[in-house]
Amino acid sequence: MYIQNRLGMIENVETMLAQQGRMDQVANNLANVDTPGFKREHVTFWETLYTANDNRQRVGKGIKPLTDHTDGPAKMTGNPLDLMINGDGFLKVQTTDGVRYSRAGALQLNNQGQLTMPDGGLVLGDGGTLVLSDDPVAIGIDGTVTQNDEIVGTLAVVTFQDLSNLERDGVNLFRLKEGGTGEQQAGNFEIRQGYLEQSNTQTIEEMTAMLDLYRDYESQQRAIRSLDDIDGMAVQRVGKLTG
Amino acid sequence: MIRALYSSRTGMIGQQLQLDVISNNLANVNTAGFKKARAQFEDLFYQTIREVGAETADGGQVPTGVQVGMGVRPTAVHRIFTQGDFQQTGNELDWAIEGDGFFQVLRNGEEYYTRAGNFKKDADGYIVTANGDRLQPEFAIPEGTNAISIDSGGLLVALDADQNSLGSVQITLNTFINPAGLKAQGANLFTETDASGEATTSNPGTTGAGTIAQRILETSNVDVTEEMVNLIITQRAFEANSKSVQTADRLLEVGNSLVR
Repeated sequence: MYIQNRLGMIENVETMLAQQGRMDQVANNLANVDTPGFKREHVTFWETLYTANDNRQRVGKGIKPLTDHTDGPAKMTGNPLDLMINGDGFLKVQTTDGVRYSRAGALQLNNQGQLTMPDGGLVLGDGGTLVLSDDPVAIGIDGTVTQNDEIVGTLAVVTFQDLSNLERDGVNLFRLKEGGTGEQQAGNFEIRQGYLEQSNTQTIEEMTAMLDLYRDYESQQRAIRSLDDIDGMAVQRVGKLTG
Repeated sequence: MIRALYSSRTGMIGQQLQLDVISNNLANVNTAGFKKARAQFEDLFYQTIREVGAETADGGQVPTGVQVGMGVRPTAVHRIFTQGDFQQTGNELDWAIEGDGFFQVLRNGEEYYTRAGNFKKDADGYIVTANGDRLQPEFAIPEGTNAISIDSGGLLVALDADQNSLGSVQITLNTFINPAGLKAQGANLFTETDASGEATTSNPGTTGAGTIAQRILETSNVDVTEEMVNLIITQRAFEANSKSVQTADRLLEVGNSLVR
């Protein structure tokens, strides 16, 4: 009886911690509701067999965070250096920490005329960085960058066989997980100049998630209390011969 | 969970900044040569958390690692240098730039750049901005001038009543490799920064600087409808973030009430 009570509580606490983690995620999704190219996170819960000690195993709750890579809505900005990737693919960015990937197409020029992310990462083309002059720039749907009827280069747009190989790097970037492979040329995309892909966070979904996790959290708390009541009764009745 | 509180706080601060930017855009809807600004965001760093004791019966690790984001932060307030609309004014010292160039003016000996072409004449006859900063290259309109004409190539000629030239000057325009990197100084003026690159001075009509149109003013490029839509989005986003603060707080409350 005693052991089982404790085990029940551990499972309740685990679920509460998992729901707290979910809450952190929802808060992050909502904080980034206006971040271009942001991809919302969600989780799946699963039951998993934990090894408690050498003699015993138990079932517990595992959480697996997932990134929702669906396209966000398009916003027209009219800015020639705002690009939206409509379809599959990521821009390839050279940062001081290595190559990163991004769908946040709010690009800028640095003082050398190189196309950069707002944080300074260099946007890569087929032949390295793209250097522009201060003339009007046209970017075709295949990523061809043209100035004064001359082709400056083509944006490198890449995708991955398995997008779960990507992890978040912050500052609107994704990086390849350690040992991850599968970078390939994206085929199914269009570059839209003057548009930005908005965050794919849906406030209604996040609100529902919050309702859901709150109620789950509450019921786990009730369960812990019930177990505590059982303990309390056991303690009070120890040594009494009659009820 | 405290993480959730901090993440939503960054979200609320970001939306406040967005609101400040929108308000300033709307306040300048009638400012000649004003260029709208836009706040830009990026997600903050992610913390990688590994669950304790997450070893499965078959020896694997579950979960392999959970990344939790820490919210959002503004990267830049970015100016959008699209062309504003043209307004016919009939004033011979109202000049609009059709293109990417900027006028250069001198204030306290320092170089500033502006797109606001509503020039005036000061007491000494110099062409100045509404704040009295002299347009470069400096030009004093000679006595007896009846009319001033400037062509699209920037050649300014002062004419007397008989259409004879009393003096002329070539007005130049300045372009930047990255105009979004210019620093706004208020009073419609910008200064160059490392990000904008150095100004390239050229005559109007060459190398993308644009041409000059006389008796026309470039109005603000703020689009009221767009700003209104952004205002709605900002308000709702702020609200959504406040809801996550609320929910996180309620979770803490439920947790705390475990102990009676």
